[in-house]
Amino acid sequence: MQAIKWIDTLSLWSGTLIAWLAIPLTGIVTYEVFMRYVMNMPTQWVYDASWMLHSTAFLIAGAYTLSVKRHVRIDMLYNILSKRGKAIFDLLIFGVVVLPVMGVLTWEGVAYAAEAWSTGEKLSTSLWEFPSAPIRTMIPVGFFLVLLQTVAEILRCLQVIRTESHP
Amino acid sequence: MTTEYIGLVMLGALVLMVLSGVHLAFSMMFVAVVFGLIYRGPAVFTLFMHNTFGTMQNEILIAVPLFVLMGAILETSGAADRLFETMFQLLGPVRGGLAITTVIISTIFAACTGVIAASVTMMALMALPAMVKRGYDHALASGVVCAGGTLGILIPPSVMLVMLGPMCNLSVANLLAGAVLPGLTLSGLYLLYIIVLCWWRPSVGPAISIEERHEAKGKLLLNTAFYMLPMIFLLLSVMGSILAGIASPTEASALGTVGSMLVAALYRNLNLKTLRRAVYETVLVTSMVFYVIVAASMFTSLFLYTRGGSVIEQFVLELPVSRWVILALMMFILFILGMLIDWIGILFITIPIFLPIATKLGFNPLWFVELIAVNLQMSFLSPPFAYAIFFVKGVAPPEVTTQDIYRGVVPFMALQAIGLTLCIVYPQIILWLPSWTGQ
Repeated sequence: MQAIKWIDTLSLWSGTLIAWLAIPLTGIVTYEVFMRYVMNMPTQWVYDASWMLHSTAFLIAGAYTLSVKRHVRIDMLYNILSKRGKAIFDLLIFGVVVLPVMGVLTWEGVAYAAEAWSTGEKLSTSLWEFPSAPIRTMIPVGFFLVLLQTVAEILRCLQVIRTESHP
Repeated sequence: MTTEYIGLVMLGALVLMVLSGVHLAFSMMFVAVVFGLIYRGPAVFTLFMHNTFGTMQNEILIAVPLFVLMGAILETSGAADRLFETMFQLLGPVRGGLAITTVIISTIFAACTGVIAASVTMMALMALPAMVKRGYDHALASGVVCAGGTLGILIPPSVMLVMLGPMCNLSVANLLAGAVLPGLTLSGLYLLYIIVLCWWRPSVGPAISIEERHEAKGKLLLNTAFYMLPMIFLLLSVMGSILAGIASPTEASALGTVGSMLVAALYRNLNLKTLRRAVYETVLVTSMVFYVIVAASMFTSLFLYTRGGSVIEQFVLELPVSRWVILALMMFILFILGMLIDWIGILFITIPIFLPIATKLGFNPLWFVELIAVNLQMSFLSPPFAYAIFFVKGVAPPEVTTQDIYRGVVPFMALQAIGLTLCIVYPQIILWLPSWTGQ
């Protein structure tokens, strides 16, 4: 199915691109250490910038993690099932648990971000003040990507169930 | 139904879902959303969003991706393989020498990886075929690999300990300091066991003929130093700066990552390909861990609100037994859970309940949390759900059977139990180092 392929590709690209944020994260924290301990001039922005880089990465990469089956789960029961059994089991999990939960959390995340956009809320942990809306927006974006990947997993399960129906 | 029992039902539902195979993160989110809606209505989502945002802003947790990245870069730096090759020639002619080599390298790399999958797989690929080929007992060989690789989650800097800090309201620096000696105690016990066993029954770990030593002893020693010292220097400086209170764990983790790149460059293994592998691995581990942390923050905030924990707490505190019996019981429950659930799940399910009980019983919280960390070592080896065994089985040479691996891990689980008992009887093993860091 075309849709599965598209979503898989989207998850792969978003996850592997965002993964590189680890490098600037290392860079700025190192820079802060240098400025603080060597130059004796601690920066105002590194702490906030670093949690934003880090949390953007882990939120966005959730879908990639799901697509390569790296979200931790116990496969004790799962492993004894046949290929079709696994698909039915996964269909239940993704359809009944993951889809509704990620759906409602994405929706609430949109509301949470929208509130920040409309009030123009500013955050500051130091002298550096910044709007909270962009980083809050990463919550619904990340959750939505996971939701999309969940749809892809459901479609994949349906495909397996249909093609393996006559064992 | 009073609110306390809602908490217990939540806990039951969570355990049931996790055991039946729903992803840990999504089961916690699901239980939190369903019970939150029933119990507090749609207003609960504001709370959940704040929980998520709070997790994102946690400064100390930024050390998680950085430590994972550091480990991933060191792992691809090629230091481990070459260290194994040289130490293999050096110690091979000693009885049990390869098993000893495996434990030593595992201990050093345990400090680097901090995630067990990587270290177990690496050791299994490297050491297991070499031992099997030289006529080592299959059970001993696979047991060493499983137990050695598992040390990664305990010996600092470990991702688990960084996560535990904010969860338990304990200083991460102290947690890291407290795990050093228990980790070394375990690896010392493993070494002792191997040496005694191979001396008593040479057939399980035969000495290799000296002909396999292609180079002079002096050259080998020099090479061992070349592949071992930069790593040890890096680890000592990362841990040392944290323990001395010079740098925060987050700052030390960033410097450690830069250091790991220098080490990789030293072995001519710093390029786009290895870096790409390292950042992909990092984002996968980090994302998995943080979806769990976010989900757990939702679940736990609701669970605490229902005061479900206090029902259990009251029940346990009213038991007419000494606090040591309760401690033993908690350790036993952790062991049993360890057979079924992986470490990250166990921590998020048990700590909100166990830690308040332990504190009320007058146990030192730092000591208690470290005991849990040591106890969880067994969870990787205890069948039927043993991570380490699965990873080793996946890459083991065909002549090593599953039975061999199961047989092999039993003595090491016994050694871990001894290690845990030592930490209980001599709390100083845990508390001595943190008392020096002055935090």
